[in-house]
Amino acid sequence: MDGLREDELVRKAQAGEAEAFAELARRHQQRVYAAIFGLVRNHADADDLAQETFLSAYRAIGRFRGGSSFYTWIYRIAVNLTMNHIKKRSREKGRSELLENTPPSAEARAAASPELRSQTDEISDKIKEALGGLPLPFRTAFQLVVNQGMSHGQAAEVLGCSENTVSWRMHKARKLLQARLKPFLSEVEP
Amino acid sequence: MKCAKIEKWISDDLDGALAPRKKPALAHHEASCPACRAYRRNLEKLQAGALGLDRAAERPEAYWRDFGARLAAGLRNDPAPRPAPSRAPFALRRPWAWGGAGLAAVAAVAAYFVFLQPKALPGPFVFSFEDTVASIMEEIGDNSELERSFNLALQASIEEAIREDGEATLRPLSDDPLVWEGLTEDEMALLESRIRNEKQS
Repeated sequence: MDGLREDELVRKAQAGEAEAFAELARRHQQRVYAAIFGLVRNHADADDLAQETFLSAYRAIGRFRGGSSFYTWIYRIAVNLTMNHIKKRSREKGRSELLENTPPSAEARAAASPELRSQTDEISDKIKEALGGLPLPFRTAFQLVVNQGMSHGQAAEVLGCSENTVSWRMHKARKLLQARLKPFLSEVEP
Repeated sequence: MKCAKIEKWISDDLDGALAPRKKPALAHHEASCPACRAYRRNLEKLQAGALGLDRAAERPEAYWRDFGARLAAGLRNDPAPRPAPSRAPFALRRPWAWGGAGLAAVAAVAAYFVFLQPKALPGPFVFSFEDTVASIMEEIGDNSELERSFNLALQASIEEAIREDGEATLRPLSDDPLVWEGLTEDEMALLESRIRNEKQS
């Protein structure tokens, strides 16, 4: 399966070959996981949601017609599932409580060498906190464009909105983040 | 050129989405505006810091082996994907409906020209809150008086909604992703303070 092109794997998966789908999942799992983790900031939830994303995609792959790339299609499923999860959690726990419960990046900090735990780490923690406080549509757009390196067009396809909308969401997200982090950003040398 | 517009351009530029024709004007403005240069520097630091968050998403190789094994087990237990239902071409699905729609369209066009006799054909109307705000912002341009009036009108509409429907208005507002798009920083701050008060109470 390793040498097959993505469209060939998709056709085989649509014909019911679970192996072909597993290979597609293997190719995308890390980026899909990172996108989900960027929104939930919690490994246990990210793990559940990533598994659910691929299982949902497998069930629905018969309806994938190739109008977009498989990668965009799977991202759309991941983002929708994650947004629904966050909204559900928000309703259950209340917005502020959810933010307070965002776990610290202890695993990452423990794994990093002292050299890596530099100023960037410090600012990252502040940014993580500020990102968690953004309205969900802004946070999602920011995650896809900045962390996943998507163009506005690709993010628009995933989010089901126009490029103009993504552009405004990015602008507003940055304005809000900059306003919240301004005192701190001014102190940090690039 | 107004800094508010430039800030939007800087954001687009950082994403590689700024139209090339706007780049000289952006460079020209930044060269003479320390505030916008500082804004860009802050956004660049922000971007670098946000990319630093990606490290937290990294998992060891063993995790991915386990992830793949669990997924494979899930796929085995899952029913095979259902093939897409084969359907007749769209135009053939409901010929009677298409016939009816065609007749209705002809009647509407005839009525339009016979009774309304417009001076000019209207353009297509697609309502989008965000695009509407974007076009209003374009219209406002450098007119600070107009911008102030627009912001006050938006803020007043939020206050009015809260007055009429009570604090409960904020919940549906916050659940609607589109409502955030056109809000100014002042309005966002107002909503944020309301949410904080709500939390404290």
